[in-house]
Amino acid sequence: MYIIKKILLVAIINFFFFLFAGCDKIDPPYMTDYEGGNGNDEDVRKVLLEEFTGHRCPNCPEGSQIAKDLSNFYGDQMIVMSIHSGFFSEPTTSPFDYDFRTEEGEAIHDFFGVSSYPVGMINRKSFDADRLMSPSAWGEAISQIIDIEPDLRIDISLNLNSKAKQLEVNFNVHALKNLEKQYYISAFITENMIIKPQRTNNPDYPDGVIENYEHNNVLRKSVNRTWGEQLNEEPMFPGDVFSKSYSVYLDDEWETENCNLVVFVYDENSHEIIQVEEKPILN
Amino acid sequence: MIRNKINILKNIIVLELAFLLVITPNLKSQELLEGARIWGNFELNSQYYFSDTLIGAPEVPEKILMNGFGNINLSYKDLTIGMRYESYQNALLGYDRRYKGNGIPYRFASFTRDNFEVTLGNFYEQFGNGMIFRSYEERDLGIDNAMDGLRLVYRPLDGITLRGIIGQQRLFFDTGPGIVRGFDTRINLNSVFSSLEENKNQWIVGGSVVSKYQPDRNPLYNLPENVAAFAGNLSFARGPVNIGSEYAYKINDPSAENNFIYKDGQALHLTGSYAVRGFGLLLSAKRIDNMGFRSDRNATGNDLNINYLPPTTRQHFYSLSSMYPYATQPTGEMGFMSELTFRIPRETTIGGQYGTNVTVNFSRANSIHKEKIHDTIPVGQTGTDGYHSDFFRIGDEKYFQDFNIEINRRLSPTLRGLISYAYINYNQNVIEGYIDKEMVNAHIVIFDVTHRLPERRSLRWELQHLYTKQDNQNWAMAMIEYTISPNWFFAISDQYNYGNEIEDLQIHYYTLSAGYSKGGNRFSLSYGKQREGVVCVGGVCRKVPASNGFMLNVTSSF
Repeated sequence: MYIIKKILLVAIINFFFFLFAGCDKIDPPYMTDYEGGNGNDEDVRKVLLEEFTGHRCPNCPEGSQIAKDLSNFYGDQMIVMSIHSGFFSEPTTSPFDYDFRTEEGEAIHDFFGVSSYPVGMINRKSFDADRLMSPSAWGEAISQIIDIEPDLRIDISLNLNSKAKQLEVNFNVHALKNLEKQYYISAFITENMIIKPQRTNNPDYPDGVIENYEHNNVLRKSVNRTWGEQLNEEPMFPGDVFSKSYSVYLDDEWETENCNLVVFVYDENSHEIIQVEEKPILN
Repeated sequence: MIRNKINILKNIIVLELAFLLVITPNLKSQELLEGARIWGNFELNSQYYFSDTLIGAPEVPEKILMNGFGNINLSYKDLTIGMRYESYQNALLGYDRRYKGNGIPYRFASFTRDNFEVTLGNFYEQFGNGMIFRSYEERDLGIDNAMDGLRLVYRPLDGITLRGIIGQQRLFFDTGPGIVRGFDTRINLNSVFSSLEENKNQWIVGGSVVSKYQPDRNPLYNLPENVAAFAGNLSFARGPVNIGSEYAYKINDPSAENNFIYKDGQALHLTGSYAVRGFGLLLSAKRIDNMGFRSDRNATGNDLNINYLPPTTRQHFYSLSSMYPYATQPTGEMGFMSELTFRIPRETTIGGQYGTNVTVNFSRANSIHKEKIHDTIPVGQTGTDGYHSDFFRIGDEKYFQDFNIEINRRLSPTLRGLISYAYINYNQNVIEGYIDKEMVNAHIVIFDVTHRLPERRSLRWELQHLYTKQDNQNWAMAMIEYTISPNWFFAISDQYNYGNEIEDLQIHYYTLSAGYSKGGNRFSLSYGKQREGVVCVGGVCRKVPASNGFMLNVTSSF
């Protein structure tokens, strides 16, 4: 009788555990409803995805597709910079003989310790102890910060001397909150629609190569070196404006109409980006 | 709130341990608390790196890297407390760089009273074969998914064990974002029912449920925040016969590992063995379908695995036969292994004067059958049910095959020899994630001879050869080791990639090493080149980069 009682107790305990095991069965549709970007001119926090990729990386097109899906979802609030760097970016024989790498991209890659691809950083911020995240984590990370009130607004004005391919850049950074830390401002040129081969694991391409792949948001060059320039020495207060001007030459190889300027402000110590802005070089 | 409480608990345990450490140097544990026992161990691995562009050894800015840890435990009556201090200055090449700095990532307190055991803090645990839950540490792979939370174990009757766990998993010096909770019951029917006590048929039945919680903040997908997995197992033993079985099921769990498909997961693992003196037969088979289970749906690599999928391949230990090890494929795999071990009796023509041990092993792993869920949707498409799969149908793609035979024989009172042959088929694309590599077909032959010398000395030498037309092609290896028991050993070895089609890469990977052991302490120093490769333990692997330099290893235990 004693044994039967005990076994009954065990059975009841098991029954309750199995019954109440946390379990969410999801029914189709599995995708959320797209709403697009905010589409207004209010000051909002914008988010930068720095995607580490390479033309010989077979999984990277999937990462770029997620970046594109998120970019469509968040509209102007999300900016992408694709950094071709590391092992999979090294040029080899044809068709992968083009060199997408930049000195600045390699420096960023090495500084943050990138060792797997594709991987990305959202505002260079650590989420759940990870700054470098696989593509599937990008959306969750963005959703955690994108609705936070912005700290800054960055206005960009550009003046291009087409003949000399010289770009004059002026940034006005408007503080929207009290900001007591030291910040740096960093700016880069990116280029869209570069048609070059890309490795893929997509079974639709049995030889593993997409010959006419469209590479977008490709980091081309820094405007004010890899780590930028110090923005403030004293704390910032709402209404303060900090201005910076630079001049940069564009490479003849780049299609100017496909080039953008990406500028962001980041915390000197944590490296976390607090605001980012993007503007086409040709308006 | 829960995190705050856990942090308070962490601090209390660390303070208690610190207190004990401060007062113990001048006291023996028996003087501190009668009946108390203190034990622990320490290990340091450090390497000085030289850049070597030819073998692909990178420049290491720090020059010296070090992994070190120490465990200190104390037990007194029904109470046990312990901690592990870890230090990475910075982590050795090949280990995840997120192992950085110092900390106490493992600390616990546990007590037992009246068949009831409570563990607070970190713990390792496994339900059944681990197919829905296994938290463990494998230092060679840089894996430590220790739980941080609570574990309760209750034995209401002799033969019945109930286990409950809840907590988060270790992720380097932090914990993962998901909460893991589980319950396991194990019943030894022969112990519980007195009518079966004398029965020769021994039965053990078990059941487990594990669920994880992770908030859904993904803007693109509707994701399940709670994902549960269930497992049931049955094992039978009668004399020399042992049969084990376990089936596991997991509901929809879109994750980075399965490309965010919503298909459920299943796994079946069967083992059978027969062993008598001089003869043993082992058979095992498994089917895995979408059974990756992690406490962070975005985790990749070896991070935050909740479960462990047991291998059905043999683990090789010689350097060339372990060059192409198999890694379990959680997204889908069917595999089986058979192993026959027998002893040819002594003083027979074939068995020789001292007898001969023979092991013949064969294993194979293939893909599972996968079929499109719709004509227009590719197999495994993100945001869909992924694919249909016929449970009993084997997929067409071969992942791995290994046939090997090992003959071990004592040739004289002072001479023992081993000869081994293996033929391995290794699908690099699947196992290492490439897309354009050939299947490696490798023949490996190994000789291992040990001479016992006077005055507790011994000389062991190995000759190995790997023949393949793929990958880096042919290798030869030689090693000689001289041991002066119980304190000293000296070894020299060379792996030579003489068959590499690129002449510059026909490289000698030589190593010189020496070690000294005394009591619970061991020191070893070596210098040499390490080839790039993959190291696997139990079907779980990590890539090892090429390196060139001095290595120091120190271990101590008390």
